[in-house]
Amino acid sequence: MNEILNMTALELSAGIKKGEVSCQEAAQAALNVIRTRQDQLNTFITVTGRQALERAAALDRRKGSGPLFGVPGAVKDNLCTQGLRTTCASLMLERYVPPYNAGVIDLLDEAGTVLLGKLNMDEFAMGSTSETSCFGPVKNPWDLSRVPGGSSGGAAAAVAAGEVWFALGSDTGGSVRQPAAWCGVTGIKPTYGTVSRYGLVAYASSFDQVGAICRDAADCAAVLDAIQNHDPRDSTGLPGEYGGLLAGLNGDIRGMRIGMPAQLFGDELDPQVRHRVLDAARVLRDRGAQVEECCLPAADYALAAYYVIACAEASSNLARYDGVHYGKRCAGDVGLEELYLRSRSEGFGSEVKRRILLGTFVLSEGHYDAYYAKALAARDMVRKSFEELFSQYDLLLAPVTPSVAPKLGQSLEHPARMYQTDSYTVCANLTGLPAMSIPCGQSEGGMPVGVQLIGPAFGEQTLLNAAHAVQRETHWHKLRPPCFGTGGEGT
Amino acid sequence: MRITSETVEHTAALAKLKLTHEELAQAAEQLEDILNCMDVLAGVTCDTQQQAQMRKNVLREDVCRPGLERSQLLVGAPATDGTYFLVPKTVE
Repeated sequence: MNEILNMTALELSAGIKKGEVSCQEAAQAALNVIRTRQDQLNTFITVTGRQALERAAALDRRKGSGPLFGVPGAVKDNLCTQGLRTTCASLMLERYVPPYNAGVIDLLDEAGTVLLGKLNMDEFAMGSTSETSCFGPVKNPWDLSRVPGGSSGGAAAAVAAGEVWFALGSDTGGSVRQPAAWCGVTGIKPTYGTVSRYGLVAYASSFDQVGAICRDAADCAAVLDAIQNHDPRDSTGLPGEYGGLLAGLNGDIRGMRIGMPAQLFGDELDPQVRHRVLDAARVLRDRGAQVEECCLPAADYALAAYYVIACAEASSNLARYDGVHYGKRCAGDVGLEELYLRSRSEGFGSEVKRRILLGTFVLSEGHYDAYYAKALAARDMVRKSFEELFSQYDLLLAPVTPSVAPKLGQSLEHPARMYQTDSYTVCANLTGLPAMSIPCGQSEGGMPVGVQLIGPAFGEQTLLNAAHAVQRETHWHKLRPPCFGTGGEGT
Repeated sequence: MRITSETVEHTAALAKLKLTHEELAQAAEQLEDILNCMDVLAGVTCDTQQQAQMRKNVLREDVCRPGLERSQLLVGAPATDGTYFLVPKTVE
């Protein structure tokens, strides 16, 4: 069984098309792993067992082409699924069943994939550890005493543990790349506007972007080919020519110019992480790229600007939860004002409340200029710095996180410290640029380390080729955690 | 920047959140901690007028399109009469 589970999505789909394995067998194999691992890992909020098997049976009858045909996957529980509850891991939406599909759900359906369920996450995607979920924390398959990262922690852990062959997450400040790094899988956040946000529950709308978490770069290319498009229902969607990333994947990086911004290799960076990231840089150099250090001074403002703007947008976006239109309403016969106050206070968890408060504060009279206006100016500075760098380089290379995955419970008591783990990822969100995380080694304790590649706008092909080049030369993306599949036990 | 429980209480009222005394005190401490990390932004030069001129909304024309049915939209509401959302009486 682990033979099927160990395949990439592309290998599995090829096997299905050759008749070596059926869609039903693949879906059943994955459901067996989910059943075995759910209590340990808590990756899923909702599993669509029966519907998934029915869908797989229908696909077996239909036969089809396409690189992802028949492949089981799952999506973060902030993507709306018609008739299937979408909770955002919050008491506020615990029973919410959307009347429509997110744009990407329809596209995955058209690609012939099988939806196995909805993945656990930080509440409303606010968090870096997947511990703020009202359904309990997700565990890291490499070490059950550690967090998987967040906020798409369920997505990364499920791919790492062999529960699915691919997953969709969302990346607002690093929420695809950071858990991918901590779980030893490959994650990509595409250029802002190239994947529809229609039906993605909003956190910070100018940053939110749907992304893919997979076993390797080739699978990421196939998933992006399936989900990138211009959706007029997303007012920030960008018209363009999409598709062809998988066909264009050749791993040829000869002559590619890669910069390593010194500011993203700061003193806070764990030496073990630094060494593994520099190992990846060496692989790229050996394959013909020119890699050198560069300077990104505006990066010093990035984290502060990100949190001010993200929380400001969150405070506005989450104002819609009023106990009237949908979501939780407090019990009891109370007046309208009290209904608002109690429904929101009972429905939101502490991290969400903290970010709403912070966002409300930085937008309030007397503080707007000192925080929000300054953050917008800093965002412009960061964007300009990146534009200048991309006139000299084809790609930038950096760590994904300053350290490997921390122990469960370490981060929540110190929110400011937790926010620091996003220092290297938020730049790509402030600028809207595509970025990915690929495994590049392990710590002495056996925890995965990721390297981040950041590309220019619409530079997904360049990013994927560089990632593919590294993965041709290294085996890190092929390592599996102790509790992979249904065999062995986690630590 | 010093953040007091009173500041948090005022902000919470704006955000339509109700916090206990303990939550107010904890939030004051944590928000102060977080805002201290934002102090780096003080070094950013910012011309709000220029900023406003640089930004503009890019909006498409309003076009009528079929949307979701009323019954589909009401299905997630905590209380309805089948036609409208129900809220507590606001005018006696």
